[in-house]
Amino acid sequence: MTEGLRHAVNPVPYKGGEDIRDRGRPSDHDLAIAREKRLATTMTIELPAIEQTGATPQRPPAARFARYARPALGLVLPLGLALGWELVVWLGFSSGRLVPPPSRVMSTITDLARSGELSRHIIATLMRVVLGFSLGVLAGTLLGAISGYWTLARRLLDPTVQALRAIPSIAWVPLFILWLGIFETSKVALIAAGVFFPVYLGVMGATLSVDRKIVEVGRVFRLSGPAMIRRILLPAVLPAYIVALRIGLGLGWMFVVAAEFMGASEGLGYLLIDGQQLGKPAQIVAAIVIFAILGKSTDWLIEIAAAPLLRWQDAFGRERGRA
Amino acid sequence: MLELDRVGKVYPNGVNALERFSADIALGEIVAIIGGSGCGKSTLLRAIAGLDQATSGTVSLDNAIVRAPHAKIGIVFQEPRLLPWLSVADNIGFGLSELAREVRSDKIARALARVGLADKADAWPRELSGGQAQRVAIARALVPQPEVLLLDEPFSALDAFTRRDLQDHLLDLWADSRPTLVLVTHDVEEAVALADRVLVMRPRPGRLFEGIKINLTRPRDRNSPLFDNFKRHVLTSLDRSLDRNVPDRESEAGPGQAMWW
Repeated sequence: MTEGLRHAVNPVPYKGGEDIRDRGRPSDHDLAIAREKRLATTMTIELPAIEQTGATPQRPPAARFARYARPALGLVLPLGLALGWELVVWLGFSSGRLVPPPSRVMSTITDLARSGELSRHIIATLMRVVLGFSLGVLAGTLLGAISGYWTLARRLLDPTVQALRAIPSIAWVPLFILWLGIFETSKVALIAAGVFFPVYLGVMGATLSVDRKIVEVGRVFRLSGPAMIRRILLPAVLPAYIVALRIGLGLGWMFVVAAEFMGASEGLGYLLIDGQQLGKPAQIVAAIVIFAILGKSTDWLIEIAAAPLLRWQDAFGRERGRA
Repeated sequence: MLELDRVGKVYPNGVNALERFSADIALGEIVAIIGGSGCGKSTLLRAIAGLDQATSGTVSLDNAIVRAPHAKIGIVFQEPRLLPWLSVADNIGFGLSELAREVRSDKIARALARVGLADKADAWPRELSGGQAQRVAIARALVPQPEVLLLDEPFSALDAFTRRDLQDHLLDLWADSRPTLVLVTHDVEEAVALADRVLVMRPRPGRLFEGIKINLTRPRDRNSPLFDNFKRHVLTSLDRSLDRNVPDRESEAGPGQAMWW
């Protein structure tokens, strides 16, 4: 039904200022045919105008519906499951002891928040992620850019980095603890190691795949090395870089849990372990929910910060979202 | 004056793409280079642009040898190659970054108006049609006022109607400052419509086969019998250039010597 509506509202992707003569199909050089074609193009342009006037009264409700209905659709499944489970426990079909109902998770969160425990744990975890992420991004960007830009460095550096990448980062934990101690340093190092690889790969891959034809434009205008980097390479690499940052951030959140499992007195990972050892499943679920919220909002921050820099992109997803 | 003296190019894989190509091109002249695929016409153009080095011979502009991209040589490629992250106006001003801001924006505004895209100044390149994008590319190349503008099959990706429109538009723009135009094309009508001289090349290895002077006044009527005559002349020459049994006219004249015109 929405499909049909969309067609009625926007039958032909008609661009406003497009030159009529640019839209023609290839033909031979005969002038008569060209004249005919011009006639034909005018007709196809008039077509949407007629249908649009017919569809105008429907447009606002349809647009409003689409705007709220689509994100809401994604909420149906999780909300339905949560409500269902709440109902099952409330009706007494299950004690909800191992799988706590949403209300019990919420009350755990509010209890933790009221005692000030929650903010202490969140701040501890956030600090680790921010520090580790910054270090990993810094190193990954630097080495990735060097490897991408400079062939000799890539030959020298890349095989080693790729070999290290093959090691699961968690495998470093014992060594990091021996080297850096059991406190913050080893935790930050583990997160940084996790963030480093996707960022390194993203920056290097993006630099290597910058369109040679665009670089040639820079050469034609005789850009110096630094100008070539600033005016051609950096903007060309940016979209892939943002993606690499988001993947890196996701891994950062993954590794902060691993880091906090290896002995921490505070942090959301500690809440998980504590909940397991003391048999408090509601606390575990509460920590998981907070991880989800934090992970999603930090990812969203990157997206928001990058959006003005990527307005020029003609993205498939955005085109669909707009329709 | 653009002088090509026995320009040759052998690629590292041993392919002999271009051999002993000589021509003198006067300032303000429009020269079309035409030939079958693999005849080295794009190789030649890239050598003139200084993007690829010739392996033998020299390209010189006003008696100075061209080895790298040159401030006085602009180029338009087959694709517009606009920078997608810059607005149309900033794309046109890409080669003007040294200028003061007011001078720069003034030049951009004039160039935009000249190519009929004043209303697209703030648009992104992706919002342009193929013909509009190529017009922006031509404006970008012309705005630093080059002495020589090279065009590598600039209209071949466009439909017939847009192509003819842009050919006329190119002549208009050329008339403003009369730079030398060197146009690589595979479209005989385009060559005859635009050029003062058509250089026909023969493939494997790429060589100059024949130079044909187009003695037609501008604006040219594409339907006139005279125009057809020149078209037929170029076509015949192209056909003969692919026949291996016909000797090069250029080799009869001897390497590096003046052509018959």
